Formats: sequence, C-alpha cells, structure tokens
Amino acid sequence: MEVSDRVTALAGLWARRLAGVTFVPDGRARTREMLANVLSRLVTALTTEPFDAGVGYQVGRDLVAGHVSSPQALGRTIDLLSGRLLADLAIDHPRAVDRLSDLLGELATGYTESLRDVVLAAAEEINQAERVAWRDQQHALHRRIQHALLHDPLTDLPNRAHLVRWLQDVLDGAAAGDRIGLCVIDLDRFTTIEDSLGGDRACQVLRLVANLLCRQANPYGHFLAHLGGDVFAIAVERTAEADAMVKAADRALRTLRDPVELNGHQIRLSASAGIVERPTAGTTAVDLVAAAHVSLKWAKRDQGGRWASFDHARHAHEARRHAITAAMPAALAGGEFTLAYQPLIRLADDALVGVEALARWRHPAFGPISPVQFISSAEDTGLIVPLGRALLEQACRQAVQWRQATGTSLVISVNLAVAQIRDPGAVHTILDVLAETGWPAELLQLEITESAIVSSDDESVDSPRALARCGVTLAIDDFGTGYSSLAYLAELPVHGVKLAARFLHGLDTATSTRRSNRTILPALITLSHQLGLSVTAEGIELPEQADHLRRLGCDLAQGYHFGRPADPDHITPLLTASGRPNRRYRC
Amino acid sequence: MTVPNAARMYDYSLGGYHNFAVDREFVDRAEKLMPGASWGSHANRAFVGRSVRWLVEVGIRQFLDIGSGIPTLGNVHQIAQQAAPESRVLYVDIDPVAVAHSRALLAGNPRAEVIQGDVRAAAEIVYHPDVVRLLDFSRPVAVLLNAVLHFVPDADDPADLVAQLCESLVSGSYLTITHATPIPALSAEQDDLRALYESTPTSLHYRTKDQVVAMLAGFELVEPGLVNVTDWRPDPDEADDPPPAAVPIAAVARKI
Repeated sequence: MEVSDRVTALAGLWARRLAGVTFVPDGRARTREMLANVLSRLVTALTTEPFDAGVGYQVGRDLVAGHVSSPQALGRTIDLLSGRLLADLAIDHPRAVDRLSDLLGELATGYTESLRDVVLAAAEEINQAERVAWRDQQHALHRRIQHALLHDPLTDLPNRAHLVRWLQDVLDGAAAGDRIGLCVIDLDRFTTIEDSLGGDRACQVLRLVANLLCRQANPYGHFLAHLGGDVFAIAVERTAEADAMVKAADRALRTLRDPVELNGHQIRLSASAGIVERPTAGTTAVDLVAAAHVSLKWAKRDQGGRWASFDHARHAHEARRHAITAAMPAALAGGEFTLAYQPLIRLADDALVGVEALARWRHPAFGPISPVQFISSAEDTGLIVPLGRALLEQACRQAVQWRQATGTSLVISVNLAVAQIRDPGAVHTILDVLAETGWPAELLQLEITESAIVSSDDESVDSPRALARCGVTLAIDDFGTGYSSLAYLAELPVHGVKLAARFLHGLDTATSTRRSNRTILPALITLSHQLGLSVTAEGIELPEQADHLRRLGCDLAQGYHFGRPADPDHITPLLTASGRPNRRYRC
Repeated sequence: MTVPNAARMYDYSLGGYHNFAVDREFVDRAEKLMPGASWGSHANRAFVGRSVRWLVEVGIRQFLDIGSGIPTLGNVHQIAQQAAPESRVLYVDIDPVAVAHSRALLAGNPRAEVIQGDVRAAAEIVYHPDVVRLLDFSRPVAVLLNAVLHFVPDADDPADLVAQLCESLVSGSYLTITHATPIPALSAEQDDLRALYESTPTSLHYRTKDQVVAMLAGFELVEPGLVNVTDWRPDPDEADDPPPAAVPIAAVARKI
C-alpha cells in the first residue's frame, strides 16, 4: 500500500472515531483531508533530524482551529495515534516510540491551551451577548414606558403631558411674530351616553371619536391629543390668524355631529369646543391649556354644541370675581368692610329721619368693589351671614355714637339678604346685636327683597314675624319688581315698602300712556297706605321728582337729590344737638 | 441565565462553548436519560450542512432560517456563502441573547442578518422590514424550519404557521423541516426526555411522519422524501458510521 493510501485510511479511521464526540462542520471528506494533512506532518516530524517536538504543539492548536475541539476528541486522538500511528503508517525509526510520546505530549498541550482560549473567548462572547440583550430589553422597556407616559391608554393618542410638552417645544422654538392655536373639545352629555350604552361601548365611542378627529387633524398636520375621558385637543403651530382655529374647531364639531355607527346602532354626538389663538410671545403651554379650558367652559355654559373663543376681558372679569370671592373671608376678619349712609328724608317736612346703611369694601389691590359684586359672591359662599352680622353691628354702633354725640336718634335701615333671613339663627343674631350695642329695636329697619318672603305660609315668614314682634320694622325693598303677590301683601309682617327707582321713569313726559308710571305710582302709594304700609321712594335725583312724590303723599324719599351715600362724618353735621333732626334738610 | 435555553443547549450538544452551566446540566441529564441524545443534534446539524449545500446547487440564493439559535458551528450563512458568496441569509430566533450574539458575529457581513422573532407569530416575521429588505420574495427563497417545529404545541397549529410563513413564497421556493419523531423502541426514554423539557420554556412535541407530511401542503417532496435525518442524501464517507438511535426526521420540499 502506498504511504498516501495508508495515511488516508488512518485519517478516515480517525475521522470516524471523532464522529459523535466533536462536530466538524465541513463534511467527512474535508475532515479526512485535514486529518490526513495532520498525519503527514506528524510523520515528517518523526523522521526528520533534528527532531522538533514543537510540531506536535502546533498540530494540537491546528486541530482545535479545525473544529476538533472537545475534550473527548483529544482523548480519542491520543488513544488512536499512540496505538496505531506507528504500525498503520509503517514508521520504522529507532527513536519513533519516544518521539511519538513527545509529540503527543506537545499535541495535548497545544490542544488544551488552544481550547482554553476558545472557551474563554466563547464565554466572553456569550456574556457580552447577554449584556447586549439585557440592555436592548431595558431600552425597549424604557421606550414603552415613555410611550405610556405620553399616550392615552385607550386611544393611544398623545395625552395631556405630551400636549403640554409639544406646546412648550413650539413656543420655545418660535420666531418673533409667530402665533399658536389650541382647541379643546369636550363631548356633550357623555356621561348620559355612557350610562345608556355601558362602559365598553362608551370606550368604543371614544375610539371612534379619536379616529374621526385623527382624520380631521392629520391632513393639516395638526397635533391631536386625548386629554382623558371625553376631552380631546387640537393644537396648531404658526396659525395665520384667529380664524384658523375657528375653522379647525368648526370642522371638528361638524364631523362629530354626523351620526356615528356602532354595532348597528346610530349614535348622535355633539361636542363643545374652547379655542384660544394668540402670539407665541409671552405665553406658556400651561396658559394656553388653561385659557382653552376657560373658553370651553363658556361654550358649555352657552348651551354646548358650539365653540367659544378665549376673551381676555371676559376672563379677566371672571378671574377678578374669583379673586374677590377668595379675598372676602380675610377682608371680613380684617375689618375691610365698612358702611356708607344715605339719608332718608320725610317728604312732608324735609326732615332727616333715618339713614340706609350700604355695604362698602375698599380692597387694598382691587380698590373699591361694588356691592353688586361682593354681595352676590358673599351669598354664593354663605359668607353673607357673618358679613351681615358684622355690618349690622357696625351700623348699630354708629347709630349709638350719633345719639351720644348729637342727641339725635335716626332710624337705621339695613339690607337683609335671603340667606340671612333663611339662616335659622337670624332672629337670635339680630336681637343679640341690638342687645350688645344697646340700640332699640324700634329704631332698626330691615329691608328685605320680595324674593325673600314669597308667601305668607312659608317658613320664610317665621323670622320676619318674630322680628316684627320684637319691635323691628320691616320694609320690602325694590317693591313691585319681583315675585310679590299682592294677594297676601296684607298678611306679611311688614311695615313699609320701598319703591324701586324705575317707578320714577316717565314721570316727566308730557304725554303718557295709561300704563305709564304716572298712573302706577299713585296707585301703588294709595294701595300701600290703605294696607297700612309706609312708602319710601328711591332714586330721587331731581327736585321735580321730589315735588311730584310729595304731592302724591309718598312718606319718605331717598336719592342723590337728598344726599349720596357717604361716610358717617358727613352725616354727623346734619344732626343737631337739640335732639331732633333738622327741619329743613337740603344737601 | 438561570433557565436552560434550547439554542444554548443545542450549541453545547454540538460541542460548542457558547452556553451556561444550566444548559450543560440539562444536556448532560438528557444524555443520561437517553444515551446518544446528543448524536441527534450532530446528525441534525450535518443534515443542515448537506441540505443547504444541495439548495445552493439547485440555484437557491436566499435563505430564511427560523429558529437559528446560536450561530456557531456549521452556520447556514457560512455554508451557503462558501458555495455561493452572493447568498443572502436571514436568521430568526426567539431568544434575545442568541439574537444579540448572532448580530455580533454577523457584523460586517452585508448579506447576513438576524431578527428577533417567534415562529408562532408568522406574520411578524414575513413582513418584518429587515426581512423584506434583505430577501427578495419575487425570487425563490428557502425557508428552513430545522429542529424548531417540535417546540410548537398543537394548540398553536404548526401546520397553519408553516402555511402562513410560506404563503408569500414564489413557486420554485423550498421548505426544509426537521422534526423529533416518536421511536417505538425508545418510547420510555422519549417520555422521560419530554418530561425533562417541561422544566424549560420550550416543551417538546414528537410528531409522526404523517403529521409532518400534513405540514407540507402545497409542496412536493424532494428525493428521498421524508426520512431519518441520517438517510437524507447521506455523505457517502459516513456510510460506515454506526446509525444513531434517536434522530429527527427530515424533508426538503419544493413549492409547486
């Protein structure tokens, strides 16, 4: 047999022995070739002078490089080569056995060192892969979290946080003169829809709405957001003018008005929108969102199904009102509320017989605040009860002071709000104040609006009755303008009526219709007198009006003609030390 | 790192070193339950080599290897690109570590890429942007499902998954499947092995030849048909090797 044939045969056997303990990828033929090559090198080393055992070392490394790389493969290799190489290849050299030992020793060293390197490299690679996979997973998780933080879970549209961020980015990058617009859209009566359709369907409706709005917003490149619940928003950068937002809002509202198909049912929706459109300079994302919500509130208040634009004046007005309401409790505690007094004149002899005490408030920042504003705010918050008591006390003390200083006793007329009368402790409070201040009940008049005592059978009459029994005078303020029923006027525990200023209108016209005040006024005065009620006319501004009323027999009068509401210091000089009011009073 | 993983276990049974202690423990236990179990991995891998070389010979230049595992010994891309350098190979594996490792190894190879994908989400693989970018589905593609379908339970309907994966292949494309199959003489050992796999994320499901044939709808088998992996166009030089006890069955099929 040729040497090469022997080599090939042994290589084939070697390859078969390796099969199953190490996977050599290139196919049996290639493996055999490689092993044949290795055998040739070993044979050469065995028979060459000088002997170099190092060839074995290199062979060991090369085997590993050739993918013969398992521990068992080394074992089988050494076993095979030490047992059969010399015999199968007919090596005949005196030192062959020793040399083969040396070579195989070196082969083992080369093989294991190379294998160690392979294993270490593989471990590093797999660990690196583990780290990369972990890092990628973290990034993916991070992205999902970011997405969830910025998108609504139901519709996957950008959420409120995302909108604010978007707006701020636009504002930050805006050029001078740029404008920006925002429209907040709220479905009308969505809770009703939810109740009738159930939660799941309601969610489907919201997703449908999101789709509809998407189709509106996308073609224009507008930013659409879902602020939660049934509230959405469309934001537009670089708007040309206010109209741009109006058009966007209009489009959105009209789209939502088209009947929507859900599971075979037709659902009719409608929505309201609040718009704000303004220059980018000087505004913030939060401002924009707040302003749009304010306008939305207006749109809803105005019946819904429409848009409303943000209006600085209106907003400022409402903001001021809120600020006033919020400031009232502290103002009350701080004694900021005072009284102005307007003379009440007996027309028969022009004598000053009393004053109406009118609430005043001068706010350190807002300045003088009209009673129209703060009284209704006080009524809304219930502060009217303590405020009313404080003002009543102030008026009574002032009355006592006047008496002490001038010897004159005036009737003090104080306004009472509905809430005050309805307060269960009203009578107690008022009597308490009278007792504390020492002012007699007979010199206190309480002015009550018609709406406060609606019928004679109501509980609302209990307090007035009790007060009247204690000697306090009661007068109906703004008589003839409210819900008064003439039917039970006679049974109400009141002593007088105050005619509203509007009854003075039309008195000066030469021509008058039968229904004019020239007819009504005398009738009212006569009626009141016949019921035993005194009549006070308010809002007298001209001497002619005073004369007319005097002729008609009106008892008392009040108005600019006789004196504007003024500080107590202005009233004091009008009272004499003689203990009686001036006979002739002119202001 | 605490749970054995099919890709790393396969690597170890081939004599690779890209694996962790848990993987080696599992394979060693499997070998004890069924001596010669690792032989099955060698035979499977050898078949992959032979079948890819054959596919290149018949003109296939695009490969989609699903369940590719750790890309070390006997890679599809190395075999294919050695025979035809313009061959393109897209690897898909479910394990993020295998994918990361593949990516590192493939860096610099413009015609081989890897994506993370699950054979049970066929549509996500076939329409994945990386897949669509590398492979041209207007030309024949070979879809390789070697040693992966036996990890898909019946509930996930493997035949339907195969259909989804091959839907967009043009006629003249190929499908390769190897699958673990019940061997009556080894039924006790196979049951033990199946129970062992229950402790991993991948449960093992043996299927008969008929069941595997049912996955080849729309394809015609290439000679010698659906046979033991060691009998598919064997290397004549290996004819004298003792036949291993437990090997998967294999088929290469051509789309009609």
